[in-house]
Amino acid sequence: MNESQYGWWLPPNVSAHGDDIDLMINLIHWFMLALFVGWSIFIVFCLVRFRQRPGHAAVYEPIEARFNRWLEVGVAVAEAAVLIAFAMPVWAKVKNEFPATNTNPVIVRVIGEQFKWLFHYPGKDGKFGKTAAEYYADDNPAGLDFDDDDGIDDITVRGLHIPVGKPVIARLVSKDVIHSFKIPVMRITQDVVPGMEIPIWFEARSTGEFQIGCAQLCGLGHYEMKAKLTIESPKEFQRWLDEEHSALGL
Amino acid sequence: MLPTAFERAAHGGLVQARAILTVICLVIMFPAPSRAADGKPWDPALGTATISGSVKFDGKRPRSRAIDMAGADEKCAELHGGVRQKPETVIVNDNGTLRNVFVWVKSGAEGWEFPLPEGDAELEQVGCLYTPHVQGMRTGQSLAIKTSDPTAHNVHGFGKVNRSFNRSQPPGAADIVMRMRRDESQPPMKVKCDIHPWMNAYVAVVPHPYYAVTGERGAFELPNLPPGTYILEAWHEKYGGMEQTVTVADNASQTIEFTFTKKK
Repeated sequence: MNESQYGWWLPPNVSAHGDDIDLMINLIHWFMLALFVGWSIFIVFCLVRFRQRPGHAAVYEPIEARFNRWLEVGVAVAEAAVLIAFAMPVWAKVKNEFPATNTNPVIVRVIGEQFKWLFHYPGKDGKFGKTAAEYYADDNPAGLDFDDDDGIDDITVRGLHIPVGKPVIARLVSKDVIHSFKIPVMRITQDVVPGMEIPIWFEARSTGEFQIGCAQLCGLGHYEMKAKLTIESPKEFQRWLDEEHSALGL
Repeated sequence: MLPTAFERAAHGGLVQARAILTVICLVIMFPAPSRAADGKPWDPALGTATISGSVKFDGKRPRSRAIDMAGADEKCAELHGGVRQKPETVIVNDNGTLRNVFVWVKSGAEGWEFPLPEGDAELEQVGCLYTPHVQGMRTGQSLAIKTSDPTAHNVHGFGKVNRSFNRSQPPGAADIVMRMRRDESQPPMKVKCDIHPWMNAYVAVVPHPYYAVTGERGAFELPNLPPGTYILEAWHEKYGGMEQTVTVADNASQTIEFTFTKKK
């Protein structure tokens, strides 16, 4: 994607759940700013007010005052509010409530390897071909069992295509080390752990071309672990799928 | 004043320590040749025999998928006009033979000092693919890794006997020249690109000139062999190695055939 798309604040948001995440990020940052400024003022005040002077001895017991207690309780209540009222509902929606099958989500398998992403679509039959770690090879980066008929129409590409306005479920796997699947404009970051298949979901609300990165230092070539995200209209997405199928000779 | 016994002893120790250090430094600076000269100079008049043949492939042609370079690096895809390339791992030729099989004399050619060929062995990066995909080179020869691509590569050599290396090569960069000091043919050294994971090549480092790589006809020829009995190995990156013992007489030619069968 074009670097100028990124401003000085958060990158553009094209995710259906992005507003919730941005609200959280903004809320927490303003809250932290208030705490930072308040504490800074307090520290400077203490440095001046309690500086060493003749005739003033240091006191080592904490000061018991009602005001301090209210302040502490206030901060704890604010933190609890951020956690219970904002973080937990967003987490439940983004991480736990997966789109129902009747919403017909796009399902894609995402394979992380040093140092590129690979995307595996189930093809026309909607079924993923059998995959296993033992099939990974130079000419088989998706680990497909080439003898399994379900896999004949599977699409394996290095760039992610998704339709706009439709939920996408991505199943993340890693071939080698821990990676982290990050789409900044989709407000998605998820560690990819070898030996596990971790599902995530997201939905795009506008079209465009963006960048996917790796957010976990995974080796010398980590900086190169990028892929192109293409969000297109459902019609264009279908056309792309058809092109991929015809490239497979189907 | 005369030195005391203690001072003399201390001085003696210092001299010894210096001598030992000097020897260590010399050993580090001038290591012994990695492969001792183990034979007599090669006499070309002896090389009268030839072993040739082909490498067949038995079974259904394995499936593979074309490489989508565009999603990872558009510059790579543009070099092929957007046409997806097939991986070079398993190529079964039209005549039912297998390409990119490394055939070499595994045993029987010891005891000679063969002259090194002039120039370096070359591994080129063209269109985000390595050319040649499989090659042999001589122990003591250098491997020159070249790039003509408009995108950056990272050459990662997984040497198990020779030193492994991991070097970036941006567009227009000078050749990376690696001297291969030791035999490395069982298996050959793998070279891959960390930026473009579909790029891989194999380089076998052999102490003699009796090796070949099968091409479009799946054939190989090992000429100028002295008469004798040899163990030949055919090695393929996916299907591994297989051996045959061959005896060839003076001024004679022997034809042999290897057959690989599809494994899962």
